[in-house]
Amino acid sequence: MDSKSSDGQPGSENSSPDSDSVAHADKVSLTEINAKDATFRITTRRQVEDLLDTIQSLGLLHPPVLIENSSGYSIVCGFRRIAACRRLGWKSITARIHKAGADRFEIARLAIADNALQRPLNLVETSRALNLLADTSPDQQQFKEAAVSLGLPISPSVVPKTREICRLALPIQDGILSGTINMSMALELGKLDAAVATALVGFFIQLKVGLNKQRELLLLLTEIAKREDVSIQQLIAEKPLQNILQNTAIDRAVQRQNIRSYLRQRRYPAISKAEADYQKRVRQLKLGKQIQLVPPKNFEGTTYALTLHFENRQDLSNLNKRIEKILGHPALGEILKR
Amino acid sequence: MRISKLFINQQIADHPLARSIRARLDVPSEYVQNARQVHAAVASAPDPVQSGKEILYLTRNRGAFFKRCPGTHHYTCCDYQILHFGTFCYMDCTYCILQTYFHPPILEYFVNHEDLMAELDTVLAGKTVLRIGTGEFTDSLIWELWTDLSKLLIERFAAQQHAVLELKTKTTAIEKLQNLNHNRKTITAWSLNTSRIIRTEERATARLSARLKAAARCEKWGYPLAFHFDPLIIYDGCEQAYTRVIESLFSHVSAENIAWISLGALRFVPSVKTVIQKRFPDSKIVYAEFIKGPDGKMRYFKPLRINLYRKIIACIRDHAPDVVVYLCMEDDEVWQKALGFKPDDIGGLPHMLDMSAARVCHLKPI
Repeated sequence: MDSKSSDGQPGSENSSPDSDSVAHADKVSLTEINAKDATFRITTRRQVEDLLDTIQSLGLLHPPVLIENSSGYSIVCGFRRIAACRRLGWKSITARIHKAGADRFEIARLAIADNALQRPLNLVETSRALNLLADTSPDQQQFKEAAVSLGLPISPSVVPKTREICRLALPIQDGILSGTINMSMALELGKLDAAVATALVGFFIQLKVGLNKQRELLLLLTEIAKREDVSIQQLIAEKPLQNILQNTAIDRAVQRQNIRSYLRQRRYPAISKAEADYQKRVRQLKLGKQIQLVPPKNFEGTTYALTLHFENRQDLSNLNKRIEKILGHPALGEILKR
Repeated sequence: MRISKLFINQQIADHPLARSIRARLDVPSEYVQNARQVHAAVASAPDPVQSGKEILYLTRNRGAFFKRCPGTHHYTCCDYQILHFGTFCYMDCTYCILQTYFHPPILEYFVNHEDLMAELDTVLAGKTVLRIGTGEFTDSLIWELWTDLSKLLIERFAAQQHAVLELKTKTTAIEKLQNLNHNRKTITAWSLNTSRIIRTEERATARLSARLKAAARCEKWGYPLAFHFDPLIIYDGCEQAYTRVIESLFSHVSAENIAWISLGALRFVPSVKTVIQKRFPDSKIVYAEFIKGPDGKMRYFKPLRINLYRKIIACIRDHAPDVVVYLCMEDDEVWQKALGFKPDDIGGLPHMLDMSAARVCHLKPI
C-alpha cells in the first residue's frame, strides 16, 4: 500500500474481479457493512485498542474479506479491523469481496483460517469454527479434511461437546474465556436454566474456585434447592451466603471454606452436627500429635481406630499413660456412646 | 396395568400356560428366539424402564427357582428363600431397586411351572422350618389376572407342615385367594407406607386404606398376615404420619394374626439415584442425609434411622406388645438401640422369624 485515500485508508487497487478467484478488491463504504452479522465470526475478542495505532499510521495492511448480501456486505474476515476503522472515523475501506453466491464452505474455511492460522483458538472460537465448518461442508469427509487442515479437533467424542459450547448462554461462554470454568463444567451448567447458570458462573468467578470445588458447590446448591423448593439464584442471594461473599475482610480461601461449610451444614445438618460434636470431644481428649483417633467411616460402623506415633520405648510408655488418662475421660464415653 | 405387547420365547410357544396367558391378555404378541430381542426392543425406547413395564416376556426359567435372599455383609439378613417365578413389576415406585437390578428390566414370567413345582417338592422335602417368599424380584400378586400360580403354590404349601409361603404385595389382587385351602401356611403380606409416600413415590399401587382393607379380608379368610414398612422414608412430619399408618393398621387387623412386621429404612445402590433423578424429577427422596454404608448402598445417617425406628417400634408396641418386629438389613448397634436387643441375643433373626412362623402358622417341624 503506497497511497492512502482521502479518508485516510489506502486506495483501492482496482475494481475488477480477481482473475484467480471469485473475490475482487474494492472500496466499500462502512455503512454498507453489516457488522452485526456474526455468521462468519470466529474471534471472541472485541477490543480494538491494539489495532488503532497501526491502522492509523500504516493503514489496513491486510484488507478484510467481505461477502455480498441482499443489503450490502457481511464480514468474513476482519471483524476487529473494521471495528477499528469505524472507531478511527473512516468512511470506507478497501476489502476483498466475494459474490453472494460464492461457495459457502470455502468462505467458511477462509474465515476460520484467518484466525486459526495466526494464533491458537480458544474453546469458544474452536466451537464457532467447528459449527461453521459443519454447517457449510458438503459431507462428513470434507468436514474432517478441512478440520484437520485448520488444526481443529475431529475426535467423535470431542466434536459434539465442543460444538455445544458456542450455543451456551453468553455468561457461561464468558466464564470459559475468563478461565473460570472448563468445558466439562460449562456443559453441566448448560443443562440448567440460563438464569441459574448465569448466577452460578458469577458465583464461581467471585469465589475463584477450581473445577472440583465447583462440582461440589454445584451439587450442594442443586440438591438443597431441590429439597427446599427454592431456586439456586434464591439460595445464592440469601443473606447467609451473601454475608460471606461480601465479607472482603477475610481471605478468599477462608471465604471459600466458609461457603462450603455453610452449604454442607445446610445439605447435611445431622451429619455436620455429628462431625462437629465428634471433633469437639476429640479436642477435649487432648490427644496431642502422637495419637490419632479415627471414627468409623460415616459413623456407620462401630469400630474406632487409635493410631500411635512413637520413636522409642519411653515414648510408647508415655503414650500408654496418656491412653490411660483418655480411657477415664468422660468425652471418650460420649464419643463411644454416640 | 398397561401391558401393550407380549413377547413369547419360541421354545415355549406351545406351552399351555403361554397359550393361556396369551388368550387372557389379548394384546399383540411376537415370537422371539431369545431375550436379547426383547431387551433390544425395550432398550431403544426413550424410557427403557417404563417400556420394560409395558411388555411381558414369557419364557422358561433355565436356572434355579429358589435363591437365597441377597443380603449384604455387615447387616443382618432375615435369611428367607426367594421363589423366583418372574421379574419386575408394572407398578412404578421411584425407589425400586429393580430399575437397575436387571439390564434392562423387563416384565418377565417363567411358564415352566412343572419345573418350579418339582423344585419346590425337593425344597419342601426337608423338614426344617422354611420361610419362602415371592416378592423379592417382583410383586407377588400382580400376576393374578393372567395366571393361577398363587392357587397352585398356596395349595401345595397347605399340604405340608413346616414351611410358609409369604406373598408380598402393594396391590389388592386377593380375590382369587378366597376359598382356597391354605391351611394357614401362606402369609399374605403388604408393604405399607404413609399416604403421602404412596401418592408421591409409589405410582400405580393401591392406596393405604385399600391395602389395609385387603389385609382385613385375608385375615377374615383365615390367612396369617405380615406387614413391611419398607422403605421407611424420612421427611418432615413422617413420624406422625407413620404413627397414623400403624393406628390404621391395628384398626383393620388383629395383632395375634400377624406373623411379623419388618422395618427397613430407605437404602439404594448409588445408580438408583441417577434413575430417580431422571425418571422422577419431582421426587425429593434422594436429597435426604444419606451416607454410603460398608455394603456400598446409600443409607440414611445412622442416628436418623435409629430415631425413626424407635418411634415406630414404640407405636407398634403400644398397639401390639407381642408382635414380632424386626429390622431389615441393619447392624447390631441399630438393633440394640432401636429394639433393645441384638439378633444373637434371641438366637438370630432367622430363628426369631422361624419361631413366629411356627406359632402363627401352626407349623410342625420335625
